Amino acid sequence: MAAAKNLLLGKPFRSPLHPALVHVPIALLPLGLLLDLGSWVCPLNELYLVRGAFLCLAAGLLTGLLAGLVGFVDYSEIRRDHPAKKTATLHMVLNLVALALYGASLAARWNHLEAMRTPLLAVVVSGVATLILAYSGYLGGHLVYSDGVAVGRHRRKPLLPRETIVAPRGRGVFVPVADAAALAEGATLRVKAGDTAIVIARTEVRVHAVQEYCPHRYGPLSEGTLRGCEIVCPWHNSKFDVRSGKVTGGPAKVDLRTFRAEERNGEIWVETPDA
Amino acid sequence: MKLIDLLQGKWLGHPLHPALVHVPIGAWLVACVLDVANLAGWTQGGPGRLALFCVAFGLAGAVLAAAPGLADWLSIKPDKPAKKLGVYHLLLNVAAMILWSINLIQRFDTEQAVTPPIMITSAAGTLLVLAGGYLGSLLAFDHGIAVARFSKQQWRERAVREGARVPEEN
Repeated sequence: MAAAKNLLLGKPFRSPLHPALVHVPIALLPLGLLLDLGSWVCPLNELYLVRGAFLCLAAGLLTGLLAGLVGFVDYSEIRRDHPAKKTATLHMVLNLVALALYGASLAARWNHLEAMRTPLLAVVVSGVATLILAYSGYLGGHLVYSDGVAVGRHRRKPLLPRETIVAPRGRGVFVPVADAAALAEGATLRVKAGDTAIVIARTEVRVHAVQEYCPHRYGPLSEGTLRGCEIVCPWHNSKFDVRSGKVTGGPAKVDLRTFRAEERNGEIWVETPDA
Repeated sequence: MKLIDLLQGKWLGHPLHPALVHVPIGAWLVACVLDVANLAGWTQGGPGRLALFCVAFGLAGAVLAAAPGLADWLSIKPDKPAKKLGVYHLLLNVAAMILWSINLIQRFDTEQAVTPPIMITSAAGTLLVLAGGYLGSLLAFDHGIAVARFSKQQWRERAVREGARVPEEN
């Protein structure tokens, strides 16, 4: 199951599948609109503009649905409380709306394939769908380039943390945050203790806790890769020793804050920060 | 705003190059599929015409994507492995653009039929752009090029709020 999911997440290819698949619908659907407009500017049968636009929409719709299915796997891998989750939800809903509108446009032109011009209603609906697609595509770009979704994800074998664990209250005291079984070797937990975001990682020997944000461009270390005692930031490959927090490679210049963590009676405990 | 900021998409908040390349990658791939279908016997209803439109549309997108791509490449530090990868990415894509330009000219000479020379440039151009595009995906998803370029201030504020040690602002 995890292997199938990792395949759909594109890990064997070192990059996600959804952003690759969307090239086809994003190119075809606006091209269909251009050909529709062309059929009004230059209504010549030998250019096959009406048929060409129809083909663009039909193929764009099918490939768009396929890309959507794969995209949903990416969506399911975004942590519930991640700031990108809302953007991703909107991205998905708007894409479904756009595809539904393209489908309606397809239906509206179905009986007019021999016409000189694509029916006006079909062109208008396709135009609205294209505007929605453009905005939704922009949101997709936002997910990758602002929020770093799927960046560096392929380097990590375990799936990402499902959610942020909220630690019990307290300052400068040890609190239990999870069952020890919830953290396999090489995996990570994301914990919020008061305002402080902490990543807990399990090495071969024991559990360690460091700050969540990489001091380079603030990438999420809870989504990073653990190699021995080294945690690698998913975004730009900054590397840190989880025991000391020290930078061991990559563009980061500042060491991580560390927090005391240990296992007690089958539970993982972490010392909450003083302030 | 400086030209490089404009090309890198600062005004948009995201890099421009990855947004524009949807057009050549998608359109050229479809042109190639149409050519194969055409050779396989589908000639009614204008697949040759549609392929021509796809090639031209793709070429327009590729020309627009080139300068923003170069601007993204300039911002990669010279000692990074991504710098070299970016050069291969550029070379493959320029080769693809040349092949598809030849392909477009070839199509002007024929009515609608796909001739072997057209099929060759079409297939080779597609392979090149797919290879180039794959390297591009590694630049973004493996090397993080342009990731958090414009959002790092927001992330920094969040990191500070959530107790992280961060470098001093310069």
